[in-house]
Amino acid sequence: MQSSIIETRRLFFAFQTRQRILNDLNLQVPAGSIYGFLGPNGAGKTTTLRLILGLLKKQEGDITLFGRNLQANRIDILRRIGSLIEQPSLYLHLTGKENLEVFRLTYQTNKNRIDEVLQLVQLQQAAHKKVKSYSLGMKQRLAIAIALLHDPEVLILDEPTNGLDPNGIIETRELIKQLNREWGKTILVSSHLLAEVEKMATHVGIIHKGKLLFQGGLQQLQQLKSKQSAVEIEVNDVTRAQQVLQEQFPVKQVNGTRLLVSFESRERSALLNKLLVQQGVDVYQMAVTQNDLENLFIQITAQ
Amino acid sequence: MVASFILNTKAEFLKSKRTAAFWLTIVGAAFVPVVNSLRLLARPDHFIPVFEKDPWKLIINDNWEAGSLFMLPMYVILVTSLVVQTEYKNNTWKQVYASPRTMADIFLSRFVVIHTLILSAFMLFNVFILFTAGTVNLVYKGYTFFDHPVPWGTLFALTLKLYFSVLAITAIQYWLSLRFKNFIIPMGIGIALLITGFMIHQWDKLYCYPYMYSAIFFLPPFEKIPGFIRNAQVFDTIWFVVILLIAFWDMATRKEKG
Repeated sequence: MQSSIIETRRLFFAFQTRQRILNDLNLQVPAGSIYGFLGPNGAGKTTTLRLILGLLKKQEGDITLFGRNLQANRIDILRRIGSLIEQPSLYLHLTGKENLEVFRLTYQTNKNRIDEVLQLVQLQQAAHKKVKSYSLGMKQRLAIAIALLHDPEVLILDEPTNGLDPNGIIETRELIKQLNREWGKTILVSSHLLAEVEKMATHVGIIHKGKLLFQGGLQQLQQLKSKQSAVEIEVNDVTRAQQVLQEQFPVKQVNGTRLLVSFESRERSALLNKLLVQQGVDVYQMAVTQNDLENLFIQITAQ
Repeated sequence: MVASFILNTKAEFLKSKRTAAFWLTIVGAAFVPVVNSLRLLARPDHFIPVFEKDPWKLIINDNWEAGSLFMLPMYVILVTSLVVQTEYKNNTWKQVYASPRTMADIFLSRFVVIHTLILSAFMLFNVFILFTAGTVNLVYKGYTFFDHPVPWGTLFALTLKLYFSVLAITAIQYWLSLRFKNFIIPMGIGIALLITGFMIHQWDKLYCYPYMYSAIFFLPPFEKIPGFIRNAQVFDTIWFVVILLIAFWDMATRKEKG
Protein backbone atom coordinates (compact mmCIF):
# COMPACT_ATOMS: atom_id res chain seq x y z
CA MET A 1 0.00 0.00 0.00
CA GLN A 2 1.23 3.47 -0.91
CA SER A 3 1.95 5.80 1.99
CA SER A 4 -0.08 9.00 2.34
CA ILE A 5 1.84 12.17 1.70
CA ILE A 6 -1.05 14.39 2.80
CA GLU A 7 -3.37 13.22 5.50
CA THR A 8 -6.17 14.81 7.46
CA ARG A 9 -7.72 13.07 10.43
CA ARG A 10 -11.13 13.96 11.82
CA LEU A 11 -10.96 17.46 10.39
CA PHE A 12 -13.80 19.75 11.36
CA PHE A 13 -14.14 23.39 10.42
CA ALA A 14 -16.78 26.08 10.80
CA PHE A 15 -16.74 29.79 9.98
CA GLN A 16 -18.26 32.40 12.27
CA THR A 17 -21.79 31.49 11.19
CA ARG A 18 -21.16 28.19 13.05
CA GLN A 19 -22.32 26.29 10.02
CA ARG A 20 -19.99 23.31 9.60
CA ILE A 21 -17.98 23.58 6.42
CA LEU A 22 -15.96 20.42 7.04
CA ASN A 23 -17.33 17.47 8.92
CA ASP A 24 -15.00 14.68 10.01
CA LEU A 25 -12.82 14.85 6.90
CA ASN A 26 -10.25 12.08 6.57
CA LEU A 27 -8.27 12.74 3.45
CA GLN A 28 -5.45 10.47 2.34
CA VAL A 29 -3.38 11.52 -0.65
CA PRO A 30 -0.99 8.71 -1.69
CA ALA A 31 2.58 9.58 -2.64
CA GLY A 32 3.07 9.85 -6.41
CA SER A 33 -0.64 10.18 -7.16
CA ILE A 34 -2.78 12.73 -8.93
CA TYR A 35 -5.51 13.04 -6.36
CA GLY A 36 -8.69 14.54 -7.81
CA PHE A 37 -10.55 16.29 -5.04
CA LEU A 38 -14.03 16.42 -6.41
CA GLY A 39 -17.10 18.24 -5.22
CA PRO A 40 -19.64 20.87 -6.20
CA ASN A 41 -19.06 24.55 -5.44
CA GLY A 42 -19.37 25.19 -1.73
CA ALA A 43 -18.66 21.56 -0.79
CA GLY A 44 -15.58 22.51 1.25
CA LYS A 45 -12.76 21.87 -1.26
CA THR A 46 -11.08 25.27 -1.01
CA THR A 47 -11.51 25.33 2.77
CA THR A 48 -9.75 21.95 2.98
CA LEU A 49 -6.89 23.09 0.74
CA ARG A 50 -6.53 26.37 2.67
CA LEU A 51 -6.34 24.38 5.92
CA ILE A 52 -3.67 22.12 4.43
CA LEU A 53 -1.63 25.20 3.46
CA GLY A 54 -2.08 26.83 6.86
CA LEU A 55 -4.11 29.71 5.42
CA LEU A 56 -6.94 28.90 7.81
CA LYS A 57 -6.45 28.20 11.47
CA LYS A 58 -7.26 24.59 12.22
CA GLN A 59 -10.11 24.11 14.72
CA GLU A 60 -10.40 20.37 15.24
CA GLY A 61 -8.52 17.36 13.89
CA ASP A 62 -5.02 16.73 12.58
CA ILE A 63 -3.24 17.66 9.39
CA THR A 64 -0.02 15.90 8.51
CA LEU A 65 2.15 16.31 5.43
CA PHE A 66 5.15 14.10 4.73
CA GLY A 67 4.26 12.39 8.00
CA ARG A 68 4.79 15.59 10.00
CA ASN A 69 2.33 17.79 11.82
CA LEU A 70 1.57 20.97 9.85
CA GLN A 71 1.35 23.37 12.76
CA ALA A 72 4.63 22.30 14.31
CA ASN A 73 6.56 22.16 11.02
CA ARG A 74 4.87 24.85 8.91
CA ILE A 75 7.98 26.37 7.29
CA ASP A 76 9.69 23.03 6.50
CA ILE A 77 6.48 21.63 5.04
CA LEU A 78 5.72 24.72 2.93
CA ARG A 79 9.23 24.51 1.50
CA ARG A 80 8.23 21.18 -0.07
CA ILE A 81 4.86 22.33 -1.45
CA GLY A 82 3.85 24.42 -4.44
CA SER A 83 0.36 25.84 -4.51
CA LEU A 84 -2.25 27.61 -6.57
CA ILE A 85 -5.35 28.52 -4.62
CA GLU A 86 -8.43 29.82 -6.46
CA GLN A 87 -7.50 32.62 -8.89
CA PRO A 88 -3.81 33.02 -9.78
CA SER A 89 -1.92 35.20 -7.28
CA LEU A 90 0.24 37.40 -9.46
CA TYR A 91 1.61 40.94 -9.38
CA LEU A 92 -0.06 42.41 -12.44
CA HIS A 93 2.24 45.46 -12.65
CA LEU A 94 5.31 43.22 -12.92
CA THR A 95 6.41 41.08 -15.87
CA GLY A 96 6.15 37.30 -15.82
CA LYS A 97 9.86 37.02 -15.13
CA GLU A 98 9.72 39.59 -12.33
CA ASN A 99 6.89 37.66 -10.71
CA LEU A 100 9.04 34.55 -10.76
CA GLU A 101 11.99 36.53 -9.40
CA VAL A 102 9.89 37.67 -6.40
CA PHE A 103 9.23 34.06 -5.45
CA ARG A 104 12.69 32.86 -6.45
CA LEU A 105 14.13 35.15 -3.78
CA THR A 106 11.76 33.67 -1.21
CA TYR A 107 12.53 30.07 -2.17
CA GLN A 108 16.23 30.85 -2.67
CA THR A 109 16.51 28.83 -5.83
CA ASN A 110 19.01 29.10 -8.64
CA LYS A 111 18.41 31.86 -11.23
CA ASN A 112 18.38 29.29 -14.06
CA ARG A 113 15.28 27.77 -12.57
CA ILE A 114 13.21 30.74 -13.83
CA ASP A 115 13.98 29.86 -17.45
CA GLU A 116 13.38 26.18 -16.76
CA VAL A 117 9.88 26.70 -15.38
CA LEU A 118 9.05 29.26 -18.08
CA GLN A 119 9.95 26.64 -20.64
CA LEU A 120 7.95 23.99 -18.84
CA VAL A 121 4.78 26.10 -18.99
CA GLN A 122 5.70 27.48 -22.41
CA LEU A 123 5.78 31.13 -21.45
CA GLN A 124 9.28 32.08 -22.61
CA GLN A 125 7.92 34.43 -25.27
CA ALA A 126 5.79 36.35 -22.80
CA ALA A 127 8.36 36.42 -19.98
CA HIS A 128 9.08 40.14 -20.37
CA LYS A 129 5.49 41.25 -20.81
CA LYS A 130 3.55 42.70 -17.90
CA VAL A 131 1.21 40.12 -16.42
CA LYS A 132 -1.78 42.45 -16.73
CA SER A 133 -1.61 41.85 -20.49
CA TYR A 134 -1.72 38.04 -20.07
CA SER A 135 -4.79 35.97 -20.89
CA LEU A 136 -6.34 33.93 -18.08
CA GLY A 137 -4.71 30.79 -19.45
CA MET A 138 -1.28 32.44 -19.43
CA LYS A 139 -1.83 33.70 -15.89
CA GLN A 140 -2.79 30.20 -14.81
CA ARG A 141 0.35 28.77 -16.40
CA LEU A 142 2.53 31.42 -14.79
CA ALA A 143 0.93 30.62 -11.43
CA ILE A 144 1.79 26.95 -11.99
CA ALA A 145 5.35 28.00 -12.91
CA ILE A 146 5.58 29.84 -9.57
CA ALA A 147 4.28 26.76 -7.78
CA LEU A 148 6.99 24.70 -9.51
CA LEU A 149 9.83 27.17 -8.98
CA HIS A 150 11.39 25.42 -5.98
CA ASP A 151 10.84 21.96 -7.47
CA PRO A 152 8.38 20.90 -4.74
CA GLU A 153 7.45 17.29 -4.09
CA VAL A 154 3.77 18.15 -3.80
CA LEU A 155 1.56 20.46 -5.82
CA ILE A 156 -1.75 21.70 -4.46
CA LEU A 157 -3.92 23.13 -7.22
CA ASP A 158 -7.36 24.52 -6.54
CA GLU A 159 -9.56 24.37 -9.64
CA PRO A 160 -6.66 25.12 -12.02
CA THR A 161 -8.86 24.84 -15.11
CA ASN A 162 -11.54 27.22 -13.85
CA GLY A 163 -12.44 29.85 -16.42
CA LEU A 164 -10.13 28.45 -19.08
CA ASP A 165 -11.20 27.85 -22.68
CA PRO A 166 -11.18 24.22 -23.98
CA ASN A 167 -7.61 24.59 -25.24
CA GLY A 168 -6.43 25.97 -21.93
CA ILE A 169 -8.17 23.12 -20.10
CA ILE A 170 -6.42 20.52 -22.24
CA GLU A 171 -3.03 22.23 -21.86
CA THR A 172 -3.34 22.46 -18.09
CA ARG A 173 -4.52 18.87 -17.83
CA GLU A 174 -1.63 17.62 -19.94
CA LEU A 175 0.82 19.68 -17.89
CA ILE A 176 -0.51 18.16 -14.66
CA LYS A 177 -0.18 14.65 -16.08
CA GLN A 178 3.32 15.41 -17.37
CA LEU A 179 4.41 16.76 -13.99
CA ASN A 180 3.21 13.60 -12.34
CA ARG A 181 4.54 11.19 -14.94
CA GLU A 182 7.89 12.75 -15.77
CA TRP A 183 8.76 14.63 -12.59
CA GLY A 184 7.14 12.37 -10.04
CA LYS A 185 5.12 15.13 -8.38
CA THR A 186 2.27 14.23 -6.10
CA ILE A 187 -0.60 16.47 -7.14
CA LEU A 188 -3.71 17.30 -5.17
CA VAL A 189 -6.06 18.95 -7.62
CA SER A 190 -9.58 20.08 -6.88
CA SER A 191 -12.40 20.32 -9.39
CA HIS A 192 -16.16 20.36 -9.58
CA LEU A 193 -16.16 18.44 -12.87
CA LEU A 194 -16.27 14.64 -12.69
CA ALA A 195 -15.24 14.21 -16.34
CA GLU A 196 -12.25 16.49 -15.81
CA VAL A 197 -11.02 14.50 -12.79
CA GLU A 198 -11.53 11.19 -14.57
CA LYS A 199 -9.25 12.35 -17.37
CA MET A 200 -6.25 12.98 -15.17
CA ALA A 201 -6.57 11.58 -11.67
CA THR A 202 -5.20 8.31 -10.37
CA HIS A 203 -7.08 8.69 -7.09
CA VAL A 204 -10.30 10.44 -6.26
CA GLY A 205 -11.90 11.93 -3.17
CA ILE A 206 -15.49 13.11 -3.39
CA ILE A 207 -16.61 15.74 -0.92
CA HIS A 208 -20.16 16.92 -0.43
CA LYS A 209 -21.37 19.31 2.25
CA GLY A 210 -18.06 18.96 4.06
CA LYS A 211 -18.14 15.17 4.20
CA LEU A 212 -15.91 12.84 2.25
CA LEU A 213 -18.37 10.53 0.47
CA PHE A 214 -15.88 8.47 -1.47
CA GLN A 215 -12.13 7.99 -1.49
CA GLY A 216 -10.13 5.54 -3.54
CA GLY A 217 -8.47 4.74 -6.84
CA LEU A 218 -9.97 5.79 -10.15
CA GLN A 219 -10.84 2.15 -10.90
CA GLN A 220 -12.89 1.90 -7.74
CA LEU A 221 -14.78 5.00 -8.74
CA GLN A 222 -15.43 3.61 -12.20
CA GLN A 223 -16.67 0.33 -10.72
CA LEU A 224 -18.99 2.27 -8.49
CA LYS A 225 -20.20 4.27 -11.44
CA SER A 226 -20.79 1.27 -13.65
CA LYS A 227 -22.62 -0.49 -10.82
CA GLN A 228 -25.11 2.32 -10.85
CA SER A 229 -25.18 2.82 -14.61
CA ALA A 230 -28.11 1.97 -16.84
CA VAL A 231 -28.69 1.12 -20.48
CA GLU A 232 -31.27 3.19 -22.28
CA ILE A 233 -32.93 1.49 -25.26
CA GLU A 234 -35.27 3.07 -27.78
CA VAL A 235 -37.56 0.53 -29.43
CA ASN A 236 -40.63 0.40 -31.72
CA ASP A 237 -42.76 -1.66 -29.29
CA VAL A 238 -42.22 -1.06 -25.60
CA THR A 239 -44.74 -3.64 -24.37
CA ARG A 240 -43.28 -6.41 -26.49
CA ALA A 241 -39.76 -5.41 -25.47
CA GLN A 242 -40.73 -5.57 -21.78
CA GLN A 243 -42.10 -9.09 -22.27
CA VAL A 244 -38.93 -10.23 -24.06
CA LEU A 245 -36.61 -8.81 -21.44
CA GLN A 246 -38.70 -9.71 -18.40
CA GLU A 247 -36.82 -12.90 -17.48
CA GLN A 248 -33.21 -11.89 -18.01
CA PHE A 249 -33.15 -8.10 -17.84
CA PRO A 250 -35.60 -6.49 -15.38
CA VAL A 251 -36.78 -3.14 -16.74
CA LYS A 252 -36.23 -0.29 -14.27
CA GLN A 253 -38.18 2.40 -16.00
CA VAL A 254 -40.29 3.04 -19.10
CA ASN A 255 -40.34 6.46 -20.68
CA GLY A 256 -42.35 6.68 -23.92
CA THR A 257 -40.53 4.51 -26.44
CA ARG A 258 -37.50 4.18 -24.18
CA LEU A 259 -36.68 1.53 -21.60
CA LEU A 260 -34.12 1.73 -18.83
CA VAL A 261 -32.27 -1.44 -17.81
CA SER A 262 -29.40 -1.89 -15.34
CA PHE A 263 -25.97 -1.89 -16.98
CA GLU A 264 -24.06 -5.08 -16.18
CA SER A 265 -21.32 -5.41 -18.77
CA ARG A 266 -20.66 -4.75 -22.45
CA GLU A 267 -21.23 -8.42 -23.25
CA ARG A 268 -24.57 -8.49 -21.47
CA SER A 269 -25.62 -5.33 -23.34
CA ALA A 270 -24.82 -7.08 -26.64
CA LEU A 271 -26.88 -10.08 -25.53
CA LEU A 272 -29.79 -7.83 -24.64
CA ASN A 273 -29.69 -6.27 -28.10
CA LYS A 274 -29.54 -9.68 -29.80
CA LEU A 275 -32.50 -10.92 -27.77
CA LEU A 276 -34.70 -7.98 -28.74
CA VAL A 277 -33.81 -8.23 -32.43
CA GLN A 278 -34.34 -12.02 -32.47
CA GLN A 279 -37.79 -11.53 -30.99
CA GLY A 280 -38.74 -9.02 -33.70
CA VAL A 281 -38.34 -5.83 -31.72
CA ASP A 282 -36.68 -2.98 -33.67
CA VAL A 283 -33.91 -1.30 -31.68
CA TYR A 284 -33.43 2.31 -32.77
CA GLN A 285 -30.91 3.40 -30.20
CA MET A 286 -29.00 1.95 -27.26
CA ALA A 287 -26.68 3.82 -24.92
CA VAL A 288 -25.16 3.59 -21.45
CA THR A 289 -26.36 6.59 -19.45
CA GLN A 290 -23.45 8.68 -18.17
CA ASN A 291 -23.29 9.48 -14.51
CA ASP A 292 -22.71 13.10 -13.76
CA LEU A 293 -21.49 14.30 -10.39
CA GLU A 294 -24.98 15.03 -9.18
CA ASN A 295 -26.19 11.48 -9.93
CA LEU A 296 -23.09 10.02 -8.39
CA PHE A 297 -23.74 11.92 -5.16
CA ILE A 298 -27.28 10.63 -5.07
CA GLN A 299 -26.08 7.07 -5.62
CA ILE A 300 -23.29 7.27 -3.04
CA THR A 301 -25.49 8.84 -0.40
CA ALA A 302 -28.21 6.30 -1.10
CA GLN A 303 -25.82 3.43 -0.37
CA MET B 1 17.28 33.34 9.00
CA VAL B 2 18.88 36.79 8.45
CA ALA B 3 19.83 35.90 4.87
CA SER B 4 16.27 34.76 4.23
CA PHE B 5 14.89 38.03 5.67
CA ILE B 6 17.23 40.07 3.46
CA LEU B 7 16.18 38.13 0.35
CA ASN B 8 12.50 38.45 1.20
CA THR B 9 12.92 42.18 1.79
CA LYS B 10 14.58 42.37 -1.62
CA ALA B 11 11.52 40.59 -3.05
CA GLU B 12 9.27 43.14 -1.32
CA PHE B 13 11.27 45.94 -2.96
CA LEU B 14 10.79 44.30 -6.33
CA LYS B 15 7.03 44.23 -5.73
CA SER B 16 6.99 48.02 -5.19
CA LYS B 17 8.63 48.60 -8.58
CA ARG B 18 6.42 50.72 -10.84
CA THR B 19 3.67 50.97 -8.19
CA ALA B 20 1.79 54.11 -7.19
CA ALA B 21 3.79 54.14 -3.92
CA PHE B 22 7.01 54.40 -5.90
CA TRP B 23 5.81 57.29 -8.08
CA LEU B 24 4.18 59.05 -5.14
CA THR B 25 7.56 59.09 -3.40
CA ILE B 26 9.18 60.91 -6.31
CA VAL B 27 6.33 63.27 -7.20
CA GLY B 28 5.46 63.94 -3.55
CA ALA B 29 9.06 64.84 -2.75
CA ALA B 30 9.26 67.25 -5.70
CA PHE B 31 5.94 69.00 -5.16
CA VAL B 32 6.72 71.47 -2.34
CA PRO B 33 10.24 72.47 -3.50
CA VAL B 34 8.97 73.06 -7.07
CA VAL B 35 6.00 75.17 -5.91
CA ASN B 36 8.27 77.08 -3.55
CA SER B 37 10.79 77.78 -6.31
CA LEU B 38 7.97 79.07 -8.57
CA ARG B 39 7.14 81.52 -5.78
CA LEU B 40 10.74 82.72 -5.76
CA LEU B 41 10.80 82.96 -9.54
CA ALA B 42 7.50 84.85 -9.72
CA ARG B 43 8.43 87.52 -7.17
CA PRO B 44 12.19 88.03 -7.22
CA ASP B 45 11.75 91.69 -6.29
CA HIS B 46 10.18 90.63 -3.00
CA PHE B 47 12.17 87.48 -2.19
CA ILE B 48 15.75 88.50 -3.12
CA PRO B 49 16.01 90.88 -0.13
CA VAL B 50 14.23 88.37 2.15
CA PHE B 51 16.68 85.56 1.24
CA GLU B 52 19.78 87.73 1.24
CA LYS B 53 21.21 87.03 4.68
CA ASP B 54 20.89 83.27 5.33
CA PRO B 55 19.29 81.89 2.16
CA TRP B 56 19.82 78.15 2.71
CA LYS B 57 18.50 78.06 6.24
CA LEU B 58 15.49 80.08 5.16
CA ILE B 59 14.69 77.99 2.08
CA ILE B 60 15.18 74.69 3.96
CA ASN B 61 12.93 75.89 6.75
CA ASP B 62 10.32 77.28 4.34
CA ASN B 63 10.15 74.03 2.40
CA TRP B 64 10.08 71.70 5.38
CA GLU B 65 7.49 73.84 7.17
CA ALA B 66 5.18 73.71 4.16
CA GLY B 67 5.91 70.01 3.69
CA SER B 68 5.65 68.71 7.21
CA LEU B 69 2.42 70.31 8.39
CA PHE B 70 0.10 68.42 6.09
CA MET B 71 2.02 66.89 3.18
CA LEU B 72 4.35 64.68 5.20
CA PRO B 73 1.75 62.88 7.35
CA MET B 74 -0.49 62.67 4.29
CA TYR B 75 2.32 61.07 2.29
CA VAL B 76 3.00 58.57 5.09
CA ILE B 77 -0.71 57.64 5.24
CA LEU B 78 -0.84 57.16 1.48
CA VAL B 79 2.43 55.30 0.97
CA THR B 80 1.75 52.85 3.82
CA SER B 81 -1.69 52.02 2.45
CA LEU B 82 -0.39 51.70 -1.11
CA VAL B 83 2.45 49.31 -0.23
CA VAL B 84 0.14 46.96 1.67
CA GLN B 85 -2.58 47.37 -0.96
CA THR B 86 -0.28 45.78 -3.59
CA GLU B 87 -1.05 42.39 -2.01
CA TYR B 88 -4.78 42.96 -1.64
CA LYS B 89 -5.17 44.40 -5.14
CA ASN B 90 -3.37 41.45 -6.75
CA ASN B 91 -4.98 38.85 -4.49
CA THR B 92 -1.49 37.69 -3.49
CA TRP B 93 -1.69 37.51 0.30
CA LYS B 94 -2.52 33.81 0.12
CA GLN B 95 0.60 33.12 -1.93
CA VAL B 96 2.70 35.11 0.55
CA TYR B 97 1.31 33.18 3.53
CA ALA B 98 1.62 29.85 1.72
CA SER B 99 5.34 30.41 1.12
CA PRO B 100 7.93 29.23 3.66
CA ARG B 101 8.27 32.52 5.54
CA THR B 102 7.92 33.26 9.23
CA MET B 103 5.22 35.70 10.32
CA ALA B 104 7.90 38.10 11.55
CA ASP B 105 9.55 38.00 8.14
CA ILE B 106 6.28 38.74 6.31
CA PHE B 107 5.43 41.52 8.76
CA LEU B 108 8.80 43.24 8.95
CA SER B 109 10.05 42.98 5.36
CA ARG B 110 7.13 45.06 4.10
CA PHE B 111 7.56 47.54 6.94
CA VAL B 112 11.21 47.94 5.93
CA VAL B 113 10.07 48.77 2.37
CA ILE B 114 7.66 51.42 3.69
CA HIS B 115 10.40 53.02 5.78
CA THR B 116 12.87 52.91 2.93
CA LEU B 117 10.37 54.69 0.70
CA ILE B 118 9.78 57.30 3.42
CA LEU B 119 13.53 57.82 3.89
CA SER B 120 13.93 58.09 0.12
CA ALA B 121 11.20 60.73 0.06
CA PHE B 122 13.09 62.68 2.76
CA MET B 123 16.33 62.45 0.81
CA LEU B 124 14.68 63.39 -2.47
CA PHE B 125 12.91 66.28 -0.78
CA ASN B 126 16.28 67.67 0.32
CA VAL B 127 17.78 67.08 -3.11
CA PHE B 128 14.86 68.93 -4.71
CA ILE B 129 15.27 71.83 -2.25
CA LEU B 130 18.94 72.19 -3.21
CA PHE B 131 18.29 71.69 -6.90
CA THR B 132 15.36 74.12 -7.16
CA ALA B 133 17.18 76.77 -5.11
CA GLY B 134 20.21 76.42 -7.41
CA THR B 135 17.94 76.70 -10.48
CA VAL B 136 16.30 79.84 -9.08
CA ASN B 137 19.75 81.34 -8.52
CA LEU B 138 20.77 80.54 -12.10
CA VAL B 139 17.69 82.34 -13.43
CA TYR B 140 17.95 85.35 -11.09
CA LYS B 141 21.52 86.20 -10.22
CA GLY B 142 20.27 88.46 -7.41
CA TYR B 143 19.67 85.44 -5.14
CA THR B 144 22.69 84.50 -3.05
CA PHE B 145 22.41 80.70 -2.70
CA PHE B 146 25.71 80.17 -4.50
CA ASP B 147 27.47 82.62 -2.17
CA HIS B 148 26.63 80.64 0.95
CA PRO B 149 27.58 77.11 1.97
CA VAL B 150 24.78 74.56 2.39
CA PRO B 151 24.22 73.97 6.14
CA TRP B 152 24.47 70.17 5.91
CA GLY B 153 24.35 69.74 9.69
CA THR B 154 21.08 71.66 10.03
CA LEU B 155 19.60 69.85 7.07
CA PHE B 156 20.57 66.43 8.44
CA ALA B 157 19.34 67.19 11.98
CA LEU B 158 16.00 68.50 10.74
CA THR B 159 15.52 65.51 8.43
CA LEU B 160 16.29 63.07 11.20
CA LYS B 161 13.98 64.84 13.64
CA LEU B 162 11.12 64.82 11.15
CA TYR B 163 11.71 61.20 10.20
CA PHE B 164 11.37 60.17 13.84
CA SER B 165 8.24 62.31 14.13
CA VAL B 166 6.35 60.07 11.68
CA LEU B 167 7.28 56.72 13.27
CA ALA B 168 4.04 56.50 15.26
CA ILE B 169 1.91 57.24 12.17
CA THR B 170 3.71 54.55 10.17
CA ALA B 171 2.93 51.94 12.84
CA ILE B 172 -0.73 52.94 13.16
CA GLN B 173 -1.28 53.18 9.41
CA TYR B 174 0.54 49.87 8.83
CA TRP B 175 -1.72 48.11 11.27
CA LEU B 176 -4.84 49.64 9.71
CA SER B 177 -3.66 48.79 6.19
CA LEU B 178 -3.03 45.16 7.15
CA ARG B 179 -6.36 45.00 8.95
CA PHE B 180 -8.61 46.31 6.19
CA LYS B 181 -8.77 44.98 2.66
CA ASN B 182 -10.51 48.11 1.42
CA PHE B 183 -7.86 50.76 0.75
CA ILE B 184 -10.29 53.60 1.56
CA ILE B 185 -10.71 52.58 5.22
CA PRO B 186 -7.09 52.98 6.49
CA MET B 187 -6.69 56.09 4.34
CA GLY B 188 -9.97 57.58 5.54
CA ILE B 189 -9.16 56.89 9.18
CA GLY B 190 -5.67 58.37 8.73
CA ILE B 191 -6.94 61.55 7.07
CA ALA B 192 -9.70 61.92 9.68
CA LEU B 193 -7.14 61.60 12.49
CA LEU B 194 -4.88 64.13 10.78
CA ILE B 195 -7.70 66.65 10.38
CA THR B 196 -8.69 66.06 14.00
CA GLY B 197 -5.10 66.94 14.91
CA PHE B 198 -5.44 70.33 13.27
CA MET B 199 -8.75 70.89 15.02
CA ILE B 200 -7.23 70.25 18.44
CA HIS B 201 -3.83 71.82 17.75
CA GLN B 202 -4.15 74.25 20.64
CA TRP B 203 -4.50 71.44 23.18
CA ASP B 204 -1.72 71.63 25.78
CA LYS B 205 -1.39 67.83 25.75
CA LEU B 206 -0.96 67.64 22.01
CA TYR B 207 2.26 65.70 22.60
CA CYS B 208 0.02 62.64 23.15
CA TYR B 209 -1.42 62.90 19.66
CA PRO B 210 0.63 60.97 17.07
CA TYR B 211 -0.67 62.61 13.91
CA MET B 212 0.66 66.06 14.91
CA TYR B 213 4.28 65.20 15.79
CA SER B 214 5.71 66.45 12.50
CA ALA B 215 3.73 69.67 12.72
CA ILE B 216 4.66 70.66 16.26
CA PHE B 217 8.23 71.53 15.25
CA PHE B 218 6.81 74.36 13.17
CA LEU B 219 3.94 75.48 15.38
CA PRO B 220 5.52 78.34 17.37
CA PRO B 221 3.78 77.97 20.77
CA PHE B 222 5.06 74.42 21.38
CA GLU B 223 8.75 75.19 21.13
CA LYS B 224 8.31 77.65 24.01
CA ILE B 225 6.69 75.10 26.35
CA PRO B 226 9.50 73.43 28.30
CA GLY B 227 9.75 69.69 27.68
CA PHE B 228 6.92 69.66 25.12
CA ILE B 229 8.99 68.47 22.18
CA ARG B 230 10.74 65.91 24.38
CA ASN B 231 7.38 64.60 25.64
CA ALA B 232 6.19 64.33 22.05
CA GLN B 233 9.27 62.29 21.14
CA VAL B 234 8.76 59.95 24.10
CA PHE B 235 5.09 59.42 23.24
CA ASP B 236 6.02 58.96 19.57
CA THR B 237 8.35 56.09 20.53
CA ILE B 238 5.74 54.54 22.83
CA TRP B 239 3.03 54.69 20.14
CA PHE B 240 5.42 53.23 17.59
CA VAL B 241 6.53 50.26 19.68
CA VAL B 242 3.14 49.43 21.23
CA ILE B 243 1.12 49.68 18.00
CA LEU B 244 3.72 47.75 16.05
CA LEU B 245 3.57 44.90 18.58
CA ILE B 246 -0.23 44.91 18.51
CA ALA B 247 -0.20 44.91 14.69
CA PHE B 248 2.15 41.93 14.61
CA TRP B 249 0.12 40.00 17.17
CA ASP B 250 -3.06 40.77 15.23
CA MET B 251 -1.54 39.56 11.96
CA ALA B 252 0.09 36.45 13.38
CA THR B 253 -2.99 35.25 15.24
CA ARG B 254 -5.52 35.96 12.52
CA LYS B 255 -7.67 32.89 11.88
CA GLU B 256 -7.97 33.49 8.17
CA LYS B 257 -4.89 34.49 6.23
CA GLY B 258 -4.90 35.62 2.61
